[in-house]
Amino acid sequence: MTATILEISGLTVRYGPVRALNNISFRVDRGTIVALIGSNGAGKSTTLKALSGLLELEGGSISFEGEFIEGIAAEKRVERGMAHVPEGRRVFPRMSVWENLQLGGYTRPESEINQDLDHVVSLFPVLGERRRQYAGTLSGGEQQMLAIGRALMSRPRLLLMDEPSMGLAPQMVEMILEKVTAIRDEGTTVLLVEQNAAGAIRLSDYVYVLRVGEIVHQSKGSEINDELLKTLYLGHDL
Amino acid sequence: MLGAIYALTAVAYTLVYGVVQLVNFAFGELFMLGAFICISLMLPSVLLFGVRVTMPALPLIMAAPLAILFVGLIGVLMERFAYRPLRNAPRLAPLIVAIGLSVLLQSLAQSIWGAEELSFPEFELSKLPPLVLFGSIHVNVMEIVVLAVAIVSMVVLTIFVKSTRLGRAMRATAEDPIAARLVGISIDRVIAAAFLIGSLFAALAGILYAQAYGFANPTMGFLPGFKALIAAVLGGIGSIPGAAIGGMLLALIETFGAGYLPNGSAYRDAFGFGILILLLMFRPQGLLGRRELNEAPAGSLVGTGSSRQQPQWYEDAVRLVGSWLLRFNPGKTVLTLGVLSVAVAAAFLITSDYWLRILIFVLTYGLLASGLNIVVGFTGLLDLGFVAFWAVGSYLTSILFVLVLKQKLGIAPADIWWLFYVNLLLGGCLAALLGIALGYPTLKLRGDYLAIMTLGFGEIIRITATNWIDLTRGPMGIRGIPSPSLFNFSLGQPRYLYLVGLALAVLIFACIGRLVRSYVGRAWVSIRENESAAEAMGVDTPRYKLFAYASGGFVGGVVGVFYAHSQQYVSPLSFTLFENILILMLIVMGGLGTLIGPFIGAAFWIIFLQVAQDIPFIQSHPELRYALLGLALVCLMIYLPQGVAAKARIKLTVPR
Ligand SMILES: Nc1ncnc2c1ncn2[C@@H]1O[C@H](COP(=O)(O)OP(=O)(O)O)[C@@H](O)[C@H]1O
Ligand SMILES: [Mg+2]
Repeated sequence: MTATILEISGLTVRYGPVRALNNISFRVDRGTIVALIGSNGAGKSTTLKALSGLLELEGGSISFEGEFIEGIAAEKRVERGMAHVPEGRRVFPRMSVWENLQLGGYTRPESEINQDLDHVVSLFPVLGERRRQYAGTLSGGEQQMLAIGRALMSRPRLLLMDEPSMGLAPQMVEMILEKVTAIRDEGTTVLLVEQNAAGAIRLSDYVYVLRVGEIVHQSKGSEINDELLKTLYLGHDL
Repeated sequence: MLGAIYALTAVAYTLVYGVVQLVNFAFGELFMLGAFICISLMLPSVLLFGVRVTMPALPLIMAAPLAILFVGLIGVLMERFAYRPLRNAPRLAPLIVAIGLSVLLQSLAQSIWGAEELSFPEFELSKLPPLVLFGSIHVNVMEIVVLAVAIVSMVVLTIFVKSTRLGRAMRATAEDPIAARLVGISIDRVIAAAFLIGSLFAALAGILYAQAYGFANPTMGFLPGFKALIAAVLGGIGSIPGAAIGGMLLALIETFGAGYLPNGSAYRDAFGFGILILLLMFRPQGLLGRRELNEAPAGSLVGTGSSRQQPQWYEDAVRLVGSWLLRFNPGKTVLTLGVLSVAVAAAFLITSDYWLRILIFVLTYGLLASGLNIVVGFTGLLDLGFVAFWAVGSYLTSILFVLVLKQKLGIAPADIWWLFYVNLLLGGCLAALLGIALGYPTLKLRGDYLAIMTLGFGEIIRITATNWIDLTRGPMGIRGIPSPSLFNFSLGQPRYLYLVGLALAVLIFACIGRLVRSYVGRAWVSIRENESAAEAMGVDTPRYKLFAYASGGFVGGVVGVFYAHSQQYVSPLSFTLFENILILMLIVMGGLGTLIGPFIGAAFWIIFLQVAQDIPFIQSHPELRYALLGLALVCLMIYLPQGVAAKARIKLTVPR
């Protein structure tokens, strides 16, 4: 086991003529929470989509657990131990909570699914209570928990999370962030994308700041203060 | 029993639509292939391509599953090679491909098995005497078997979709394909599975149908296939119980309608279409259904360039052909005049009547295609009922000249030669009115529903023309329509007919040219590119859509009048869905939304038809030409969605 689970170098992605990511490189160590923060449109979601295989790269490489995975289809990356909790949750609205979770374990052997379900329910008891309810009728916070639970069902070693706190009440944000820490403490590495930086910085071991497709800062979370953050977000040169 | 068959086929449409939001018109043809393959396997020998081939003479119990599996394989191949490359293309592209595949399969079946029908061999169950229930109801054993098979297969499918891993993956893909990929579902495999299962159901239905009616023929799939689609929409497309209910309901309505309405049985096939139209007007999501079918297909074929990356040599070649075609740009007066003088000179230089007649055909089809192009190419509305306008023009003038004036009033056509010219206008106006009338109920519809609905309209007109014998003489058609003449001078010779056609073409070409360059054209293109955005920008979309239907209809009507007088004969056979597809094909070939494209497409096709007649293999299998047409349509959509005259497209949109 090496310390590095994910290593990205020279990642470049474009949407038609628009370059959304310009030659970014970073690293995620096993067993840590790494935050990727930046303002709206900085390219955070694009980074995660490139990592999980939803977007094609224009250039650069992605090494996951020591193997290059750029050429591998999104669904195969799930099998390899990478799960993506997408922006806006994207649960399957007309399926029950239970079915959503079962689908999360799509790549796992049938025999182990029950065990994984128990594990997810112990982390998010509310999902157990609502198991028969349609996912589309859950509240925003519950849907977020379901989206995270669904991703955990594939037993990932790396969890990519895109703005889990988006649109949630402050208490709910607090609760979700606690769960992120709990997930890390169980041994799952987390790459956390947030626009709301304060919470993310507090719980993460390392922070990268993204601005219009480039990484403009990287450090331990404790080294970032409000003043610095403001400059980074607003884009004045340091 | 018919209900069970509709229901099974409806399941095919519903399943594939549910997963990929695609109306695969070709299921009707898979239905037909199921029947043909099954019968072939049951016979000791069959004629294939006119060659007698020994067959295993299997019992039905073995032949049917084999045939069904084989058709399933065809369905999977179809998805893999025709639809998958277009998965991210605008909605119009797979729809046109679906139509192309239908034509391809149907013509291939005709080439392979011949146009004659194949009768269904007898088998043990079919020979049993009918059962008598409650002393008075006689029921055929096979009817019970059909019903049982249908119910069992639907129940099995429902369970499969509800509670197996793959079934769950299918539903997940239907709800959110991206999220489905993120949980590790291979979308390609799920879609292939949906096509496989859909094809199995279509083939099963085809076999049941063939054994019930005792035969199979290459066109048997069209009506049941289309009605199954209606059934699927009726029940709410995407819903399996909906498909079952829709199928039963449709069969019931047809049976009662045929039995209780005056002259109902003649119009039996029109009921389905009528119901469809009513349904789409008032409850487009179906009885149990969802709404998506009615969503706007944003982005057009023509605006966004080819749907996928093309190799360099290919782009170069397109550019070369394009730049050559650019010289035909009608904006350049000199060149227009040049082309025109060549066209006029042709009238005098070509001495063979045969070739002049061919040129008349090119003009007729080019004009028809230009009319349809207004609707499909410029405004982006897929219209499968366009032939109706053509039919209206043709019948109007034929009825007036032959049935009313000559036969009722005893007036010789020569005395009222001018009526031809009046009729050109009259036919155009009548067709334009019809265009508005037909267009009105479709205003709220977008996307695939529109195609289905216009198809229904076209069929209703055709069925009416066939069955309203007092007015149209039904399938016999109307003979003896006089050639056009000017005072006492007959224009009946091919040379003069050609010139008349050319004059019409120039007039219409110029009118359409003016129209599409005006604000009307810009409004049309804005609807094509993105209807919601156009609406948001304040374009009165209903008005311009109606205007597009009216203009297209007008052209169709005018051409209809000309056509009737140049052929001197009309019959409902000229106005089939197939003709409509052919015209559509001409536009696609030449380039959607170009002025010259329809004519180039028409010239290509008609000259190809002539040239192909000299190839021996095609001589013995003339249907192969249509198979090629279907194939060309599919390939064009995949590789050259902009058509060969793409570079001559009028630049009304800002290049991206
Ligand atoms: N599908 C798309 N097509 C074109 N541009 C896009 C698309 N998705 C994102 N972008 C652009 O890429 C940039 C980065 O977007 P995104 O990664 O979603 O930002 P973030 O998640 O940091 O808010 C933005 O400028 C956005 O407009
Ligand atoms: Mg984002």
